Amino acid sequence: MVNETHPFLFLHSSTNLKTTVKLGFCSDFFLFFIFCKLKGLEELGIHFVLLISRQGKVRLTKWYSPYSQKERTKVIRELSGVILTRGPKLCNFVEWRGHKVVYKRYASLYFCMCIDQDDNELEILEIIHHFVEILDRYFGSVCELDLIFNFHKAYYILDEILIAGELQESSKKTVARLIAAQDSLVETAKEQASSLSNMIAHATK
Amino acid sequence: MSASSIMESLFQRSLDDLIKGIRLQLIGESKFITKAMEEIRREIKTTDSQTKAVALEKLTYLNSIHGIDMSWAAFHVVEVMSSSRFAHKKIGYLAASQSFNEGTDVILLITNQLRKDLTSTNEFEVGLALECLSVIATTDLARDLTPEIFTLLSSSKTFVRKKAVAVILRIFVKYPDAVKVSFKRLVENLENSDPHVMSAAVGVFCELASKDPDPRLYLPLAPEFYRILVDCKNNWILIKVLKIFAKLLPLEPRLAKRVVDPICEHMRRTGAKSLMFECIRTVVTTLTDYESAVKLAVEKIRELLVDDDPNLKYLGLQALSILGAKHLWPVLENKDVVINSLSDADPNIKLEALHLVMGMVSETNVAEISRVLVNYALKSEPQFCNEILGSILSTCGRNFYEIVVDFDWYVSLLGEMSRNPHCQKGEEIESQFVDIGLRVKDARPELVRVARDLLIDPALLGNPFLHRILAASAWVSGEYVEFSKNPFELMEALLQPRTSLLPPLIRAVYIHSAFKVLVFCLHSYLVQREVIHPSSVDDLATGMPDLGFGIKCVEVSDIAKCQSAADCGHDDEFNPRVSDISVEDSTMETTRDITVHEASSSVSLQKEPFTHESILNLLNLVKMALGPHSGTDEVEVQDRAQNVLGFIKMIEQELHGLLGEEKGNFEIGEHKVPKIIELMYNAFSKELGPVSVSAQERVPIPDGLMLKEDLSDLDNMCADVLKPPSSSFTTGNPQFGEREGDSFFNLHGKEPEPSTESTLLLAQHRKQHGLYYLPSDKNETVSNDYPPANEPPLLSNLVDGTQDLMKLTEQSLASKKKSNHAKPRPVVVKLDEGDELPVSATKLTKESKDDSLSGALRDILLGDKVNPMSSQRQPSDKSSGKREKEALVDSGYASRSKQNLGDAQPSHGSSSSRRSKHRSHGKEKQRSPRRNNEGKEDTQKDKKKGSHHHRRHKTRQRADGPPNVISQTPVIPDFLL
Repeated sequence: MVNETHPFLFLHSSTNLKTTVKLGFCSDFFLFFIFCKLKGLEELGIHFVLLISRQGKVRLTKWYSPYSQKERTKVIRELSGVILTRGPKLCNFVEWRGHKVVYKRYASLYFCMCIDQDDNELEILEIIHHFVEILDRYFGSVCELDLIFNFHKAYYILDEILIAGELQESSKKTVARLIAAQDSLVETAKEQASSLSNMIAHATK
Repeated sequence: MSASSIMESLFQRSLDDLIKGIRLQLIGESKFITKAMEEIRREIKTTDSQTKAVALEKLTYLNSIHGIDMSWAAFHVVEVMSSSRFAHKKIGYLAASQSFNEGTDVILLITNQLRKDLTSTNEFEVGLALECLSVIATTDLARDLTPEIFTLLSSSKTFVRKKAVAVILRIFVKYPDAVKVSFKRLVENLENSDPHVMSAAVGVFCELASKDPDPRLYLPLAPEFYRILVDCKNNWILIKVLKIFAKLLPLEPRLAKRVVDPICEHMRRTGAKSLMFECIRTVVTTLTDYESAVKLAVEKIRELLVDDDPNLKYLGLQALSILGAKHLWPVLENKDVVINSLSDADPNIKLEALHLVMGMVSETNVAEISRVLVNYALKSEPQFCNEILGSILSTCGRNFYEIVVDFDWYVSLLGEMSRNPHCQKGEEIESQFVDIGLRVKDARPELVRVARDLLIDPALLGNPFLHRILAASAWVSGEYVEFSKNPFELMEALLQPRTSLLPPLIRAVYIHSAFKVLVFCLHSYLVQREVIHPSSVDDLATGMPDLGFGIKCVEVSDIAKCQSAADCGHDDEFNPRVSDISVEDSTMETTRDITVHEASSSVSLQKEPFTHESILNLLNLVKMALGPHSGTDEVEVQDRAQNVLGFIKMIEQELHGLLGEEKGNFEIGEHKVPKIIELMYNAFSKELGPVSVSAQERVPIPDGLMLKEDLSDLDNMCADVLKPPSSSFTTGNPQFGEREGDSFFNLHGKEPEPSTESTLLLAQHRKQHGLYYLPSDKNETVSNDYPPANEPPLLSNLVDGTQDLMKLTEQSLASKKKSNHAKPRPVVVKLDEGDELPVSATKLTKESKDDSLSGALRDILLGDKVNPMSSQRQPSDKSSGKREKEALVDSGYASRSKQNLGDAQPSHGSSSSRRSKHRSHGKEKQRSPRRNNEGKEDTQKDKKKGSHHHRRHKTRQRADGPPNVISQTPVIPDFLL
């Protein structure tokens, strides 16, 4: 596998976004009722996230909008056809089925996110970069192989960054802390489970 | 049981093993996966939770990476989810959010499990449940779990609270009643001091506002959003707030005034391109009335456009095209970048640039822009080439070719486009070819010339994308054969052997056109031999009045000059074949042929195009080419070939006798043939044109005509015939049926008398009710009154043939610069008034922009680097001069047509003068776009926005007021028949 061991990031470049915020306002808000006609609106925020290798192998798929298994396969096939054939110096946006797909290549891996027409492409590019930086910190100079063998961990990290197709955590440090905390929870459980004596005890109960 | 369980858990393939196995590919991926799936199916049924969890993890992997179905394991997912161990729970929840959907039935079973986890003391368990719910929430789940989510909305743990806020959006979507319960708490989160929570809340409102069909509901929250916009320093949140404002601003004008300054401030200050772009987008979509904001945005757009990053360039172009719909000057200011982007490596950028360029097109620069683009299309790859051609076609064809002034140029451009090797726009070009032929009388000579060039090229027949264009060319050259320089050449082109490559329906069009050409040649020959007297034809009044014939005769003699030389060449080609056939046919004919040949060779040296010999050759050519078709399987082709052959058979014998004798020795009535030919000719020379849907209704019933009494029975019968099809015009094809009827009728010689009778009746009726007849005839009878410049193609026909061609090409070249000013826009026949009003409105608004535009574009296209003011002014002066001329012509035209049409359209004179006034007004006003904008700004400062709007509306109304004079006065009201 070519380039799978190549790290995505050579430098930990910092994004433009700052998370410092000054707040201190509060106002009374009168309650009012909204008669939402929201039923049937399934597509919110980012519709899906795809990680595709340069050879067209899927490395991660996350669907925030409902797609059937058949549709998922079709989407992946279509998009990898479109994105992988694009040259290196072209823009990172592709019009696709009335949506926009923002993609960015890191080493041998393409990170793709699908959004609506009026969403902000540059913001999505920053989210992708944010995701890659967090992966990089977590795995220590992340490469494609890390994601192949730790596919579930990539999911857990993504779940800490995005929820319901929206960015939920813009601090890399916080994400790292949360993931570490959950990892330790998992590890202790695993250790308990995988000790042989424990296993035999469990089986002969 | 327990032993096997131990064995399973000891020797179970872990996820790592699975991935390694797939990567090794010892037995092939699909085989390995099938094997692994067998294992998973067995393992997942075990009672051991560890084994089950690992099996599920593997299954999830295979599902998300290799697309293996896992819906069958839904129940096992629920089992693993409810495990007490966090590691297993996590695997279970991941599997659920990957694989569950609305149709999963076990989803009913997880409500309690989710409730338990949502109320867990372990925040990570709560997090898992919330994440899962955000993906798989159904209406039932949303309804049942709303209380728990409501509680979590005010959780003290940020980790939980932000997730709960994000999930509430999905809950609202699935179960709108939840809004009543939890909306207040959601709004409180908007004021939370924690940026994560606030970010999540803003995100929810952003989605709500953009997806809700009625964003007005969120207007009361505007003060909150405003405060965030001003105070917040977090770019992620600011982008979302800007998106919310983009939805709210169109609803509340007062809001715009408040937010315009903070938005500009952010735009100026921020270093983040994403935020800057969001500011730009908000301004160009919703704040276009604020001059300063637009100016700042344009400045920033410029920064994006000149950036090396293709992303920024693309977004800059996008912003520009959004803005271009309202203000054209920013597009013009950046025209250099836009036009350079046409050759960008990125197809997205090219496409965006193309849209922008086409947005700049107006009637003064359309020729230049199209020329540049068509040339560029030749060099670009097929897909983009067709994008270019398509956008030129749609732009030029918009609103009945409103921006095309010089149709000769446009028609030759169509020909050029057809010759582009990548051209796949056959259908569009076909319809425009026929459409222009029907609507624009003055374009016909050039149309025929272009059609001839296309038909005569055997290489084009091999390209299936061009077949539709060739069909249109064949139709055009048959229908308007009188403009053809060399009908014989045309006939050869129509019958060339490679037409066998065409699909049958198009071949049928070819043959029918050949029929028309044949009839025309025979008729012209007889006229020339004075067997038929043009004047006698005129009495019959079948649509060819005096002047038409005058032109035709002139044309005929004109062709003669170039013909005599060409003929000799053709004869050499023909003769062998001719003799072949004639030997087969009859020896009698051959001998006569030869004698006549000798006799007429002297004639052909004189200035007569249609020699006896050439006519005979023509007949033989047709017979030979169509002979094989009479037995073909394709009914359409066979039918038409038979028609032609039958016609030839009928006239042939007598024609030979006729041709043998001396000129002028005949009297009409002595022979049948001249009469038949004449009838056919008249049938074909009937003018075709677009028919309005409501044409019949507009004809008032004359006094004393009792329509209902006599024709009440017919009414029922013809009910569906009289009602035109859904499209507003009948073009091209339907006429074939009509024609066929005529030719069929004549062919079989079933009393030709009634038809002449009917034509006589028709003539009488025409005299009585001339008003209701098509001005097509009238135009020709009165066409001495036409402004002379209106007929350059006809005049040019007077000139010698070769020179003529030279001149035509020259003209079409020169037209790109000059002919615009030299001649007014030819008449484009339009029918329905409903169509016209919007046309005129858009046209006028467009014209007002013209002056600034043409100058600017000339700069970029011709590469003039003169100082901008003078270069802008010069062309504007030119075009204004042209405009005055045009206006003069218009008013004269209008008054004349007023006479013609009686009191049908009484307001033309005044409207045209009003129009010219309006135009000159526009000219002054638009001399410099800058100044104009400053003026606008001034008015804006003076007045409140509302009044500004009102004023604008007024000018729009004024523009609507004078209806499009050009298009309306020459409108042919309808056909009576």
